[in-house]
Amino acid sequence: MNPNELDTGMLRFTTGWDAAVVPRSIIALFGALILLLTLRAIWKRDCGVPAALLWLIAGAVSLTFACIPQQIVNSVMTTEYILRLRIVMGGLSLLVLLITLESIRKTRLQERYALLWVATALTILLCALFPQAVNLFRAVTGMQYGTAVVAVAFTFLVLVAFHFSIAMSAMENDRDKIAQRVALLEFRVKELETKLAEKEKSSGIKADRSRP
Amino acid sequence: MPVRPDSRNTVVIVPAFNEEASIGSLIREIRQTVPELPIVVINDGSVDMTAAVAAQNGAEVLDLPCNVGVGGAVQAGFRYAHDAGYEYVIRCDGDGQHAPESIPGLIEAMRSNEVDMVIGSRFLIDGWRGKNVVRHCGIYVLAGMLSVICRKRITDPTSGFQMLNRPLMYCFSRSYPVDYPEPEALALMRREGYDFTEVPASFRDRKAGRSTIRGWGTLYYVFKVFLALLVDRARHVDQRFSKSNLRDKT
Repeated sequence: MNPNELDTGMLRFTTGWDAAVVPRSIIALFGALILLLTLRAIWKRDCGVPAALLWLIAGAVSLTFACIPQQIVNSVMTTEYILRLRIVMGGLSLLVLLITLESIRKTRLQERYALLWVATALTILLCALFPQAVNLFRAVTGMQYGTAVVAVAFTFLVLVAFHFSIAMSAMENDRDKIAQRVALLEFRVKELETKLAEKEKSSGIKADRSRP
Repeated sequence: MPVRPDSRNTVVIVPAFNEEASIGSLIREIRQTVPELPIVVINDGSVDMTAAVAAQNGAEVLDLPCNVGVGGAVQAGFRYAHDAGYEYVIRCDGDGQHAPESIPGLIEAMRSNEVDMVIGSRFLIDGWRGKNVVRHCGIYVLAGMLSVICRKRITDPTSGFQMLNRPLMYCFSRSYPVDYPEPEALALMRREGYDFTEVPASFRDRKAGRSTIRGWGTLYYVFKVFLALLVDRARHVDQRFSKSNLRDKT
């Protein structure tokens, strides 16, 4: 099937974009709301620069998206689909990279866990910049370019998920050891308290502790 | 005027993970070189008899319930030293790489310089040993990069053979990198306004155990350290831990 051939559902949007007033106004309102809230936050100085930048981009994108005239929709529809896919992929991978680095900067993410995310983002970026990079993979599996990129990204995300499982198991082990140690220490403290109380009782010294 | 290091205000911390084979002789060596200093072994969740061997040889033992990695273990040591009221702490790794005979050199440098940290550098004493060319090349590149970041020449940025004073001890006990912490800690302390100096120190090949940096670990080390140094430049300096803020408070 020719990928540029559109089904009727998509066709209604692409040819009747000018007439789709309700969805477009909803998107525009949404974008305006995001912009307004972000500007308010910037005015009150209660958000960081990267976060503000991300939200401003999000608001501006949805607002301009709603205002796109029919001609641009037509020209987008006639560009090569691989090019569009590459632009979206590249944008997404840059977003992942930005969010990862920002999380490290805010010390919310350790470098250990950032490794696979950075690798994922860079691989997709590589596939977007150089479509030839997946050619061998495509030749072996017979996949289309888009499917091949998604498959590569999927592999990395499975790795991320597996990494989480391993990290979680390690954390559970550590938690068990800490819990055991706390219980043992508590037991020893109680034992020492009892011994101390007995000693005080036998020697007749009044304990000057606040607790009875 | 800062307090000078002496036998009453200095402690040696020895982070150790599965080092039962070498920890005993290391403690005896440290005791021989600096008999007056207390030694605290931080047992980083070893599965062997490290803690028992250390205690038998007369060291105090801080026993962590699980393995927290070099950064966490060293930080536990700093925290202990700060809580116990010590003015100076010397770190000497439990794998025997840091030769105790160089400890007096660290103390002497701390005594005669107005610095917050003294680092024992293996490259000031015998230059290139050429045994592990790849590793030394990596260290060389890292040293160049860190020298630029720190605006001060550093020859051995991965050395954990260090002596630090109380304000820096406090700073590190609050925030310290998790794994492979030394280069990142250097960049961090420079940004907080602390100063360091290097002295020649002899390093030995490990007698037992294995380095944590090998195979895939090398790749991760490079990735982690460079990413951390890069991102660290974009961080705000936490003024609460800066030298100017802590000088009289700790």
